Amino acid sequence: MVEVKLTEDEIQKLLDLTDKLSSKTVTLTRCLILGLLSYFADGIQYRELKTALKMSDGKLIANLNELKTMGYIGKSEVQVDQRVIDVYALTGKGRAELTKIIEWMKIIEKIANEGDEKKCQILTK
Amino acid sequence: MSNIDKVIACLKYLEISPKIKDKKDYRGRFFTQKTAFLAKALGLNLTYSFTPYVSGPYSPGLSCDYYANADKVEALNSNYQLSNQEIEILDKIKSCSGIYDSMTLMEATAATIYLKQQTPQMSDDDLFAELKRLKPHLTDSDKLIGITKAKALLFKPEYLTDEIRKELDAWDNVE
Repeated sequence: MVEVKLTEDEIQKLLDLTDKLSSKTVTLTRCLILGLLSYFADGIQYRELKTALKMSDGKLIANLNELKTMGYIGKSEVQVDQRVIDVYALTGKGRAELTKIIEWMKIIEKIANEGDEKKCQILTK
Repeated sequence: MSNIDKVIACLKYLEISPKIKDKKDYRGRFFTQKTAFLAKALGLNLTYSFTPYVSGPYSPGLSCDYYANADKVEALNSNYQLSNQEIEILDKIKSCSGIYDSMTLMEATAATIYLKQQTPQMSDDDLFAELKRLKPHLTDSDKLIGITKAKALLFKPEYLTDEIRKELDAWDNVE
């Protein structure tokens, strides 16, 4: 008899958290932007983000504007030598959203791992 | 003594006063990061680890520390006594002209030192190519001057052999 460790609670938790997440945030690019801005607490210059993400200006600006509209990131202008450069930083709201995404991914990881374990047990029987 | 106390002592010696709480003072935090990196690279004992990517060399650990100790950093309040050896390191950084006048030159210099530490045998051409890949927003002139500044900072007196000294003297005496 294979023991099923995964509880219905776990699945329910995943579904509840999914409802709380904004589908507008959970895209590869937007998660990546939130993750990078969380690591670089001082903010990231627009040109550095563009290099890191290897993205066209149009696509990057559209994603940044959307995150800014949602209040997850803020933009400020800073003087770098003789030029004025846009710097983006994570807001408190953005950090909270990122934490929710991480929690959500952790539950998915747990479910996937337990699923694999269950499969292994069946295969080795 | 904590890492942040050492960094504050360095900033105080170099007369850099970052305004940590002022979100608009990107420049102050930028030079704090780069100063800590250069000091560590040249031998000051700091346990922060730095990444070369994006705003690099950059240490998230250092940023956590200066946000947590913002008042102390802004007041340059540290009881840490710099040793003679540490003062020598800071004097070397201080004498590297121009790096505190230009953020892009500082970025090129610090990134070159990071690359040179990772791969000491890297040629100037390879350094230039790698800088171009990592920091395409820097101008070629920043990259070239940055490489030269990095070499000056990493130079040790023992590298100056009699043979090199003679060659340098010969160049100095060219009419």
